[in-house]
Amino acid sequence: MSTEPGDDGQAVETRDASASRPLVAWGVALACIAFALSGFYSLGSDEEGLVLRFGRLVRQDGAGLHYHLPYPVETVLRVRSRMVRSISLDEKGKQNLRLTGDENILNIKALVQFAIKDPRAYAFLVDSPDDVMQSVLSSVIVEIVATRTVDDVLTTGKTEMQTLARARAQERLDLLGAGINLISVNVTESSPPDPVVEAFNDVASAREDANKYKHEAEAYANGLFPAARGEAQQALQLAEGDRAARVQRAKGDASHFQSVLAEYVKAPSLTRRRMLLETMETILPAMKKFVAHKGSATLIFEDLDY
Amino acid sequence: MSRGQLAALTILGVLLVAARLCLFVVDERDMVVITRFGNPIRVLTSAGLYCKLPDPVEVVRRFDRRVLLLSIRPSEFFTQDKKNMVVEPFVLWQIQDARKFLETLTDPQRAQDRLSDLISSELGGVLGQYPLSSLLSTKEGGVKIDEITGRVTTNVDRVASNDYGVKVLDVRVRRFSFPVQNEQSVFERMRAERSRIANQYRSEGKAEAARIRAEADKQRSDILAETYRQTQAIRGKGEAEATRIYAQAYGRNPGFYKFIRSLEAYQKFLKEKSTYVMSSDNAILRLFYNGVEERGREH
Repeated sequence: MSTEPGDDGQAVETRDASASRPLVAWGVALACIAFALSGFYSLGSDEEGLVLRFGRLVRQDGAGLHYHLPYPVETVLRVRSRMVRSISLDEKGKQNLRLTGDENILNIKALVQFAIKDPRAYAFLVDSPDDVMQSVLSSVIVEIVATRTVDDVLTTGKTEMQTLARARAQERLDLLGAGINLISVNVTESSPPDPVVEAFNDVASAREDANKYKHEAEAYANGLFPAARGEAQQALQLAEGDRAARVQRAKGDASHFQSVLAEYVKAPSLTRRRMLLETMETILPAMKKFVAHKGSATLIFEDLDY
Repeated sequence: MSRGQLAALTILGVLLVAARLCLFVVDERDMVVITRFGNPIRVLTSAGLYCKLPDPVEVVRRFDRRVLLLSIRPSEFFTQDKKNMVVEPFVLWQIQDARKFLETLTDPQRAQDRLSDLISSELGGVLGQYPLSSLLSTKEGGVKIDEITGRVTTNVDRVASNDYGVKVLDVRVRRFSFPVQNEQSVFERMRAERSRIANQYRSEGKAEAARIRAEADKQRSDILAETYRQTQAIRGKGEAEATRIYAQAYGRNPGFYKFIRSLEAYQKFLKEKSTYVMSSDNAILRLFYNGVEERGREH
């Protein structure tokens, strides 16, 4: 406040004071309004709001625009209750090695899908409920894998493991009152650790090899039968042909004999002589011929062909 | 500003300061102990607004009343059968008696250390009474992890409740593993086992393949043998039929058959290389040597 020497000192004072009083008043009013407005808040469709008055839960709000008495009287705690979240139980990149019932080591990684089913419990009954959930699930998986064989975990037992893990973990979380609903547990990776991967892969190769050997043998077998049967058919046909030919030949010979015989009986000795001479005609020319003269003391050979 | 307004502001200020010093909030997540000159006099477990005498007369000691998770560092333990395992436990615990907690452990950090020690030693003790097969087994009911952690929980809870006002809800194992120095031999064993299984598959496959091939070969030779038998029978039938036909035909005049058959034979075996010695009184040569004397007879 400035004071000037003047005849109306009183008036100056009043003017200064009246200039600042409305400003202050307006400032205070604005501050009060801002303070009051700070109580507005909105919640998304997947959120719920827990309103605490002096630390005590007084109501639970759903989606939309709401008002609460400004801090420090009331505060709102937001909880994303309807949202389904996925969390991996394991560190990224690293293998998560677990022990199986037959004292083998396996890399098993899992993913859990969950949602908050009780916002009040989630916020007020358990500290770091997400971490608690992860730890509980880890311990459940450890216990389950410890009763199974390597092959079971790697192949056939995966689905059963997932179902069992979800059920057991849910039981324990409910006992703790964590307010979390486990929707699903998925084993995203189950594989042999790096130092033994090759050996495990070789087993799969071995199975394939075994099948290959069997298929090759079966192909061989399947090829054999048609060929053998074909051979058999051919041989039978050939034999049949031979048989027929043999019989035909016999019939032919027989019929030929019949005809010759029919002619023979009409003039037997004539026919015999004729046939003999004809035969001689055929064979004698080619042969070396000698005549031994009967009646001589010595055997004289006369060479007819000379 | 008037004295009245100044007075009002002053009173407001004083009220605010008083509120600041004497009023405090207990949250839903809190358990609060009020100490007067260091001695606990009140325990508040319900959420709400409370008042007290200002510091340092009365002090608010605030604790988390929720279920708390404590991860315990992994340690090596020995089983009953002298096998060593690395166990990484965790515990879910809660402050039950805030006053006792404050008096004995004072703050959460000390509580964590104390709990860690308690659990580690109890776990070691209990684990030493069970063989390795209670931790890892494929037999029905062989694994007793539940029993082991249950006993540890019960024992530690008893001590923690009595001595520190702490409730131990559940001790569990986040991970079992073999000590690093044993891992290599476990991998060796796994490799050897896989190798054995692979060999078994391969040799079984080969054996089966050989069996299939042998079976096929046998069936093939069976077929061929049967075929031979049949073809022989067929040919035999043919021979028999032919013989019957010949016998029937030649049987009409065996003498004549012998005659022509001999003529055929002569034609076959008497050839160029053969030499024929005829007697001069051979019928064929009669005319040749003796002339036409027998002319009359020829008619």
